[in-house]
Amino acid sequence: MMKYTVIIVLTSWAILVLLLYLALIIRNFIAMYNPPQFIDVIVLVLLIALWSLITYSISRVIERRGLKKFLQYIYIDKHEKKK
Amino acid sequence: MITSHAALLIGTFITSYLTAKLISKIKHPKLLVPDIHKPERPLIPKIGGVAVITSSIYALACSYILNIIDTKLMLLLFFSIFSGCLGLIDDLIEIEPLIRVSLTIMPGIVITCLGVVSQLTIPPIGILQNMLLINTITLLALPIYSNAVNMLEVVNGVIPASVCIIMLTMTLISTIVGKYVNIIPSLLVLSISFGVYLLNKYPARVFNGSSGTYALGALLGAYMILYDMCVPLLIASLPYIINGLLIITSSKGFKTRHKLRRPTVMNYSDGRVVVNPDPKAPLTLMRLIVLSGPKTEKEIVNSIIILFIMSSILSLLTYLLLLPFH
Repeated sequence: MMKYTVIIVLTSWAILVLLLYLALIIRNFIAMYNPPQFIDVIVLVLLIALWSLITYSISRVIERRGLKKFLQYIYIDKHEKKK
Repeated sequence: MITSHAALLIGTFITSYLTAKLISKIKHPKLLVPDIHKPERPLIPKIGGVAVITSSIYALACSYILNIIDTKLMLLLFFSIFSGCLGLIDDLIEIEPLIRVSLTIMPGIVITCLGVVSQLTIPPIGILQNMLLINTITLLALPIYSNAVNMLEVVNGVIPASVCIIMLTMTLISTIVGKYVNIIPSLLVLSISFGVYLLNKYPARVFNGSSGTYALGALLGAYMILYDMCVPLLIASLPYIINGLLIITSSKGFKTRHKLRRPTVMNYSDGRVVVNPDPKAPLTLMRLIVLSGPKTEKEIVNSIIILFIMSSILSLLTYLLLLPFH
């Protein structure tokens, strides 16, 4: 089935929601120091980078594991045909 | 008022459908491309996106004549026409990827210069009024959506079907939270994409091409910013964003399709798509879908549509659960 993509979409959604709460905490924290406007932009860029990094890493790990299984399946299939 | 809106929506749908139907009859060899996921490789017209452009022009003219137009609706439709024309040029004479991506920033610059958006609601954070932050989000959203939609144009019917699902969710959310001004624009985008969907669904009689993907992407991005639906639309369109992110990071930058290795391979003996075992092939959503086993094109289409339904349900739940907290 399409289990790999479902795992990736669910994980990235969960990370996104967690990062939104993290942004809320950071915003409330830095608001105490009356920061300049560009700090919000830096926080946004950092959060996007963090989300992208986590989502890409998870997808890469899942792809590598899936590819390994797929290649094993081809190898076993060829081996059995030779027999 | 209801009659005017009904005329606008029904007329837009009919224009979109009839234009797509007309395009499906094109026989000019330069406008035809083979459908590589079918064993017989039929030749299909690649400029189906013109239907999005014509229906946007109809909607713009109709809403102006019926006096139901406002600045936001005008900008939404204007960006769709602009991005569609940009995509059409790319369909006819291929534009360099970097130039193409840079040009998709233009609508964001227009929104920023006109100052149409003064606040964005991001639950659970709250209402953002920092103009520097709002302008950054605006400048990022439109090119991201145009290009992300373009990157998922891999199998029949996925783009218009997903836009329909997303816009149906936006209509539902707008109704629940009482943002009634958002309902007509979301139904308008839905009627534009539904007209195209009827001829682009599996087995496709027209392809969207860059004209269709750019125009529909611009509609999503512009709707998100102009109608203050950042979080729900972002979550509902997660498969687009994830696919775009995976392609750009795994292929290390913006590259044309011809310069990339194919992530999947078509097995013409049984008509199924299998994963390309080459580890250097770019990572895409379709590659991940066929990783668990060979699939027919129809199965891949269904898998991607299920992902969009899932992300739309998540969007609805998230928005309704987070909204009371801000």
